[in-house]
Amino acid sequence: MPVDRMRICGPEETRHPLVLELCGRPVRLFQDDGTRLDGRSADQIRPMFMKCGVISHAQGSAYIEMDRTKAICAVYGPREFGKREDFSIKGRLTCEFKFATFSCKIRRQQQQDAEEKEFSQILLQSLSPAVCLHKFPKAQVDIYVMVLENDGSALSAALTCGSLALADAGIEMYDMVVACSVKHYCKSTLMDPSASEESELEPEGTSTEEKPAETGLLTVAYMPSLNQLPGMLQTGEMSIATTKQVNSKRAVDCCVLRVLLKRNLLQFIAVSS
Amino acid sequence: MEVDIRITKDILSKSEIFHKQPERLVTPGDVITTDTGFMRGHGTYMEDDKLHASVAGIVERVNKLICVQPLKTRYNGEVGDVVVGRITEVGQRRWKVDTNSRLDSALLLSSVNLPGGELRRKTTEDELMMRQYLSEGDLISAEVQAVYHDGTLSLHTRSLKYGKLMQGTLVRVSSSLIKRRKTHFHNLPCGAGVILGNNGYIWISSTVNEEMDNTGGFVQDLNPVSLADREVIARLRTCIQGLAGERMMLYDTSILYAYEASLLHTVKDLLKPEVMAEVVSFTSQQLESAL
Repeated sequence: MPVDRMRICGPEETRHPLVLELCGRPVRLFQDDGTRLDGRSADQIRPMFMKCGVISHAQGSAYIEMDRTKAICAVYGPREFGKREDFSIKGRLTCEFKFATFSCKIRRQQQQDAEEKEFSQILLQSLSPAVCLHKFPKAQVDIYVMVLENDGSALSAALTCGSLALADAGIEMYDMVVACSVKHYCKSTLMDPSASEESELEPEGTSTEEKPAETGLLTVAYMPSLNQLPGMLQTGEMSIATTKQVNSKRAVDCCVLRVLLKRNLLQFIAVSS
Repeated sequence: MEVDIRITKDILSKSEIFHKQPERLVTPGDVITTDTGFMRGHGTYMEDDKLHASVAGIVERVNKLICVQPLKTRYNGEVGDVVVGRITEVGQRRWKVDTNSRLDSALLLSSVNLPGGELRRKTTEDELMMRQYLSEGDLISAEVQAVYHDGTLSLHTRSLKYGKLMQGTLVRVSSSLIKRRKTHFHNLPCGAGVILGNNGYIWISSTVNEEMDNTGGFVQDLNPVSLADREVIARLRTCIQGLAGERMMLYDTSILYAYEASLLHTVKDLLKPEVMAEVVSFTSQQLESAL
């Protein structure tokens, strides 16, 4: 990606001083009655909306809304390689992930920054096993995902959206990919965290001896029919036992997601045939 | 001047002109059957003695063959198909043509007719003159000569009815909607000529005169097209897009019926969804009664 030479930016970690002040305030996870800030229980995922065929120019496209997190994906292909360097019997998949500049609380850069590049790699890694690459030799499929509003779990939304768009494009796949995020904080596990829950939280009411040993965010991509995990991303510190426990919880989620995805896609097929 | 703007929620959702519910819909990864006696067709794969679908679509069963018909596929060429394509690249002794398939098709220099219809070996001067004949962005009609093992099509324009296309409109529809017929070049009685490419690219132009067109499409025809002709072409284009929107098969009869049904409205009115729906339903009725 070309570097932006017209703007003079500081290093990527620098932030506007006003934003630093806002982030310093502690955020509570749970309300008094035990529900989360938006009224959900710890195990509940947000209501979703999905639609296929939203971009007329692309072969396949999908739009997903998980409450306020919105992502849109376009799939172009199979089409010729851009540069014919080497001959290959398998097709090629390229993924590009981008946050829209207005999508997060802090304005994003126009070009892909390191986090977006990492997410692009994760997308590629998670979607490649699902696609039958040997069915389109010498051709490539391009996947472009853009997150329009980030209210937490953007990567999971992007993964699910990407797989829906691939199915819409008629590209042969072994299975659909669904993804889910889980946040672990102290002893509580939250499904499908929103942006305020995802960000680093100040411990509320902890004494000095007890520090929050295990906090982390786990995003898992899952192929339900084949029962395989094509991708997993974990940030933070979690012991192995905790990770396993958290992982099993997200399995339930993913099955729910799968049902939703399937119903939506089938509706779309029924309408267009 | 009146302008017609629709509020999004008032736009008609896809009307069910054909209300037939498909029997079995599947998504990728779904298990179609656990019976191992079936042959695997397109869109399926076998895993652990279970047959899974690999595309989202309708399950079709013909005796012992199970396949899944996907919603959208790229055009898969066969020898003898007539295609309309756009030149994307001029290479060494060949042109690369975009025909809505997985890979670009190849049009070899040895497969075209030279200006004036001569038949001779192509020399190096001809190679250098390639761009003068067909350059990037030009539209051509051609026939599929061969299919390579990776799926690339090899095209040829070795007849005077094929060649560069000028003075007309291109409409792109799904390749599955074009019926395979004996001829794909039609001169409609309404005063327009239509080429229904098997790849889903349709070319509409004013009537082609048989006697005059024996130059193989080389003569650069830059005469202005009359308003009456343009109206006919525009009307045809809207009709074809309306039929394609309702996933009706496209062939000369269906296009002609749609055209006749559309004559009741002005060309501008045809762009409104309810007017188009009326025209399409009328066409389908006529087609059914003709059967």
